[in-house]
Amino acid sequence: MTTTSSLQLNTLPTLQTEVISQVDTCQTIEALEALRVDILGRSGQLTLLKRNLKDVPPEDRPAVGQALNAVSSAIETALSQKKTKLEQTALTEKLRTETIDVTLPGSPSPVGKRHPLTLVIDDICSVFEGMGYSVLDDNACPEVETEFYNFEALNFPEDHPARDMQDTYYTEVAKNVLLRSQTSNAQIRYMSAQKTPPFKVVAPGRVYRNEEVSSRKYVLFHQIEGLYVAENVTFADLKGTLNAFIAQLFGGSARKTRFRPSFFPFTEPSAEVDVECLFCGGDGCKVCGHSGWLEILGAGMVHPNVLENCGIDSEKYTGFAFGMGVERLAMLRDAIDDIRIFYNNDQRFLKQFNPAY
Amino acid sequence: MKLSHHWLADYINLSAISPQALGEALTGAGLEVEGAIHYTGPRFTGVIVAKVEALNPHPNADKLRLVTVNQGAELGTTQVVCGAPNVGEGQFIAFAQNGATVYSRKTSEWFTLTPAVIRGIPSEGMVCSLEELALETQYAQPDGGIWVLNELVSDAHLGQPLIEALKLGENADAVLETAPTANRGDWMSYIGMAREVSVLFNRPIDHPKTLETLGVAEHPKLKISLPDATVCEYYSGAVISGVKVAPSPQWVQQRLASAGIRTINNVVDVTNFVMLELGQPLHTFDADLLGLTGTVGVRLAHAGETLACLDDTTYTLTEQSVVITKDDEPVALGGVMGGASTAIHEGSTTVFLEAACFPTASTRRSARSVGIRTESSARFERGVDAGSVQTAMQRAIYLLQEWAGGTVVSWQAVGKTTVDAVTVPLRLSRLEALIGKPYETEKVQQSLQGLGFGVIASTEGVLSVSVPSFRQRDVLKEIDLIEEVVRIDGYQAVPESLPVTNQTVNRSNRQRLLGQFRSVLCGLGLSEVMTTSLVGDALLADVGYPPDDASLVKLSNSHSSEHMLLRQSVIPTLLDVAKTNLAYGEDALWVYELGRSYFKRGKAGHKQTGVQEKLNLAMLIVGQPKAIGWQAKLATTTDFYTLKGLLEAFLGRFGFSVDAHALSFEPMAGEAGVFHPGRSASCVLTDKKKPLAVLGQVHPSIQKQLKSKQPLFVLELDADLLLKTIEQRIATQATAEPSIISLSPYPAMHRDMAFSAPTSLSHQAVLSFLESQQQQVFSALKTVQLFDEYQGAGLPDGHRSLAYRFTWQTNDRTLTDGEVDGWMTQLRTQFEAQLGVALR
Repeated sequence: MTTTSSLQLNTLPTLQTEVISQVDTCQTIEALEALRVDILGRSGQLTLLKRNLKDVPPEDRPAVGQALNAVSSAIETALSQKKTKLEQTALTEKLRTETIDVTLPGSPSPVGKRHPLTLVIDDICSVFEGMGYSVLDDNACPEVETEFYNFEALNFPEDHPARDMQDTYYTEVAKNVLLRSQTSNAQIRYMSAQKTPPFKVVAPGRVYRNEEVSSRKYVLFHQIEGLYVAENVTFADLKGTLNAFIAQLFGGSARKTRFRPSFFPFTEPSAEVDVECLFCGGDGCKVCGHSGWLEILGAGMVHPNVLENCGIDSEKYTGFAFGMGVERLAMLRDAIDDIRIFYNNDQRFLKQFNPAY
Repeated sequence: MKLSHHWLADYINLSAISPQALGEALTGAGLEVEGAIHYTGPRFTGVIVAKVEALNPHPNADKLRLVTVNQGAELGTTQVVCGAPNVGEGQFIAFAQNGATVYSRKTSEWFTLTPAVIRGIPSEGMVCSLEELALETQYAQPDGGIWVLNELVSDAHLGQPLIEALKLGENADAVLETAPTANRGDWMSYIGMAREVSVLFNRPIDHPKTLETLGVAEHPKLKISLPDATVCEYYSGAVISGVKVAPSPQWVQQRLASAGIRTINNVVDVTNFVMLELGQPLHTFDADLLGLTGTVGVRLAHAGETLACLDDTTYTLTEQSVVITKDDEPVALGGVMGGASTAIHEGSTTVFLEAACFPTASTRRSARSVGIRTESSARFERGVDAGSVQTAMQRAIYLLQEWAGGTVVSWQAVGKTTVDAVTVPLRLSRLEALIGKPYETEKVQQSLQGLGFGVIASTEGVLSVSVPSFRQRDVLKEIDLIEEVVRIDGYQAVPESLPVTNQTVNRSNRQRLLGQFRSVLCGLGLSEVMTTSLVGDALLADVGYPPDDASLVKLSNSHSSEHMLLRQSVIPTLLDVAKTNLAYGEDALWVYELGRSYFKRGKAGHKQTGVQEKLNLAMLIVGQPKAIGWQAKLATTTDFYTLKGLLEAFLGRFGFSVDAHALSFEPMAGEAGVFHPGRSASCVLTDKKKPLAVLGQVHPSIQKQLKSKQPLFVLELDADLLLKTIEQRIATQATAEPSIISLSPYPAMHRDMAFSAPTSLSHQAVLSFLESQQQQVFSALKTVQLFDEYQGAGLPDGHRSLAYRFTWQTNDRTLTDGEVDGWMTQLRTQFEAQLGVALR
C-alpha cells in the first residue's frame, strides 16, 4: 500500500494550506466549529487520514505520522487563534449594545457632614498640637461650675465689678453654682490636679452668658483656653505663639496683629489681640466698627495669685494663658453674620462646610 | 466713658495731638477707644441756607408736598418733594443740593445725595432734618420734622453754605468712647485720663481750680454718724447757702451733653461735672427739705423699707441696700442715687453737699439689690480715689459759688481721712525675665513717675515704689507695677519668640475615639448638629419630654423662658432640629449630636457642684436620603431597623455586636415617653449589664406635633459608658495574648429551615435557644442567620414565619451531607419539642 503513504505525503501541505485559508475566511464561531468538525471531527479529513496510518508500511509510518501531527497541530493552532479573535469581536459587538448614559447621576450614597464649630475647634487644636500643646479631654472640665473655679481661684475678688465683665448664669442648685462664663476654669482644674509644671495644654469647651439673643450674641458659645506654664516663659513667648497661631489659622504671615493692654483678673500683664480687619484690610468698615481691627483673642501672663491658688511656686514658674471664642473665629473666617445660625442646624447651612482635610 | 477732646484740653495741653492720635495712644495703653470718633463739627457737605417760597400738594401722594426752594439770587429756585409735616412757607431751611453728603439714620452711614423721582415727580435736593446733618446734639427740632432755621439766619444768608452761616466749623469737638477696664476706677474721670495722656505724651497736668481751704466750722445742729466702715468709709457734708437755682452756663451744658449726661440745673450739674472731672460722685440735698437739725447717717436698709428716688421710681430695699438717713429715715441710696423727697428744686436756696467714700463691694451689692447701675455706683464699684474726696468737695463748692452764687457756711467729715502709704518693690530682673526684654532703669522710673507713682529708693536692681492714692485699688503687687511699665513702654516694643517644644503631645484614647465616632457616623450618612444645652419648659412639653424634676438643674436668673433649664437628654433639641428642617422642606434628615446632659446628683459645696454631666450620642433619622432622583425606587424605606442597623454598624466598628454577645436588644421596659411603645428598644451592654442606649420610633402624637408626614426615629446612647468600655478594652489588649481565631481550610455547608411561631417568640429567644444547643450538641454549627420574616396570608393569626440559614463547618475535616442532614433533623425535633414551633 505504498500509494497511501505517498499520496498522503504529497497532499498534506496542500491540505494544510487549504484548511488554514478556510479558517481565515470563517466569519462566525459556528462556521469555525463546522470547519473544525469537518477536518478534526470524528470523521474529519485529518482524522480519517490518521486512522489510515495503520495501512502505511511500517518503515514509512514514523515519517507520515510526524507529518500528519504537524499538519494537525498547525490547523489546531489556526483554529484556536481564529476562535479567540472571533470571540473578541463578538464580545466587542455585544458590549457596544450595552452602552449606558454615564452622565446620569450615580446612586446616592450619602455621607454626613461635620458641624462647622467642631471643625473649627479641630483646626485650632491642630495648630496648637503642632506647637506642642496637648488637648484636654472634652470631659476634663464641667460646664456647671462653682464660683470658686469660675471666679475665686481665678483672682476675681468677691463683689468686684470684674465679675460683671461676663453676664453669668446662676443655678438653683446652690447660690455658688453657676454655668461657667469662660473656659478658664480649665486652668485651675488642670493646674491643681497636675501640681508640677511644665503645662502646655489647650482646652476647648462650651461656655454660657446670660444675654439677650441677637445676631451677635447667643446664650452659649465655645471657647478654647490655652495654658503654657514652665520655667522662664515670657511675654515675648506669648506674642510669638499667638502670632504663629494667627498666621496659621487665617493664612499669610502678612496679616498684621496688634496686642493691646487689657484687664483680666487672672492674667497680668493682660492683652487683647486684634487682627487687621479681614473684610476691609484695615481701612475701617462696619464689621470692625470702623477701627480697622478685629478683636480675636484675650491673653496674658498667668497672674501669680492664680499660680499660688493652684499650689504652684510663682517665683519659679511663669506662664501665659489665652482664650478665644470659636464662634467669633468661625464667623470671621467664613464671613457669617449671625451667630444663631450655628444652633439652628439648618441643613442648607450645614451642608456648605467641607473640611479641607 | 465719653471723652471730649475739648474738655480734656482743660487739664492738659493737647495741641498737635489729634483726636485720632489721642485715641490710638490711649488704646495702646489699655484704655480702649471703641468705634468711630464722633465729631461734633459738621461732617455734611453741600448744604446751603435756603427758604421755602411756596408749597403745593403732590399730585400722587397725600403726605408729600412739592416745595419751591429759594436758593438765593445766584442759584435761583428749584422744586423738591418733601414729606415733613412741619414744612411751611417762609421758613428758612437747611437745603442739601445734589451731590451733598448727608447722614442716613436708617443705614447709619453718610451718603451722597443723587437726583430722585418721588412718586413720579423729579426731586433734586433735600430739605434736611437735624439728624440728616448729625447736629441733633447741638440744636433742637420737633421729632420727625425738618430743621427750621428761622431764628438763626436771615435773608442775607440765602445761598450761603450752612457751615459758614452758622459758624459751625469753629470750635468743633471730637468725642471718643472709651471703655475703662473693671480695675481702673480712675479712668472714669477726666483727670485720670489726663494722667495717662500726661505720661504718654510727656506733658504736665493742669489741675482744676478749687476752693482753697475748707476753713469753716462744723454745723452747730447737724451731726454725722458713721457706724460701720464696711458700709461707708468716709462721709463729709457741707452746707452752702444763698444758692440761686438756674440753668447752667451754656458751655457747661455742652460739656455735660458731650458726656451723655442730662443737664438739670446749675446745682445738680456741679455734682455731675465734678464727678466726670475727678471721678468722685457727689450728691446735693435741698437742706431745707433735709432739715439741718439732727443726724445724717449711713446704714444698711431694713428689708422691705422703701425709698422714692430721683428717677421717679420707688424702690423696695433689702438688707444689702446702703441708705443715707436723716434721723434714721432713708433719704438717699448711698453711692447709687438721691432720694426724691430731698431733691434740689427751682426754689432751693440752701444745699447740703455730700462727698463720701463707699466701699466697692457694698456699693455693688447695694446697686444690685435694687437692680440699677448709675454713673455714681459704677464709679464706687470700681473704687474712687480716697485721697481726693475732699478735693472734690472743694472743687464742687468752688463751682457752686461760681455758677450758683452760694457761700459755704459749714463743713464736717466723719471716717477715715488719711490714706495709708503703700510701697511695693519692683525687681528689674523679674521684669525682664517675665517680659523677655531688657529695660533701662531710668525709663522704668520715668514711666512710673509719670503715672504718679513715687520711686522712693533704688538699690541693686530693686525699685521701692510708692503707690498714689488713686491707684491703691489696683496696684497691690510687683506684677501690677510690671504691667504698668510694659503698658506704658508699649506692647509693640516687646519682641516675639516662639518657645521651643520639648513636650510630647498626648492625644488620649478618648479623644481619638471621639474623632473616630464622628468619622464613622458621617460615613454612615449622619450629619453632625450642635444644639443648645439650655432649654425651656415649652420645648420639652412640645416634644413630650417631661423633665425629671429631682435631678433637673434650673437657672435662677435667666432672661428668657426658652433658656431656663439644663437639658437631661439631647433628644428634645434634636426633635426641634427635625421640626426646623422639615419646615424648610427637607424630606430626609439623618443627624447626630455628641452633646452633654446634666443631672443634679449630690450636694453642692465650695468646690463641688453636685451636678453630673454626661456625654450622650443622639441620632435622629427621618426619611431616606438615598431616595432622591431617578433611583429613588431602589431605596428602602426608613424604619426602626434602619436606625437599629445604623447603631449596629456604628457599634460594630468598635467591636460590639449581638453576634459577638457584646450587645443585646430588649423591648423598652416601662414608660415609653417619646417613643412608640411597640417600636422601641433598649440596647444593653452585656459585660456591664448596663443599658447603653435607647432607640425607637417617635410616638405618633409627637410626630404629629412636629408636623412630620413621615415617622421619625431617635436614639440616645451613653457615650461616656461606651468610651469607658472601649478604653478599658484597649488597656487590656495592650497586655493580653493575641487572640485571632484560626480559619478553617474546609468548606462550609449551608442548610435552611423555616417555621411558623407565635409572634411572641422573639428572634432573640430563638437565638438563645440555638446557642444553648450549639454549646451542648452542635459544635460544628458556626452561624445562624435570619433571612426572612413573614406575617400574613397562610399563617394563623398571631403567628409569623421565620426562616434561618444554618452554616456548619469544622476546622479538622470536610463535613459530609449525611452528618449535616442528621444534625438538621435533630435540630428540627428540638425546635418542635422545645419551642413549640411548626416547621414549614
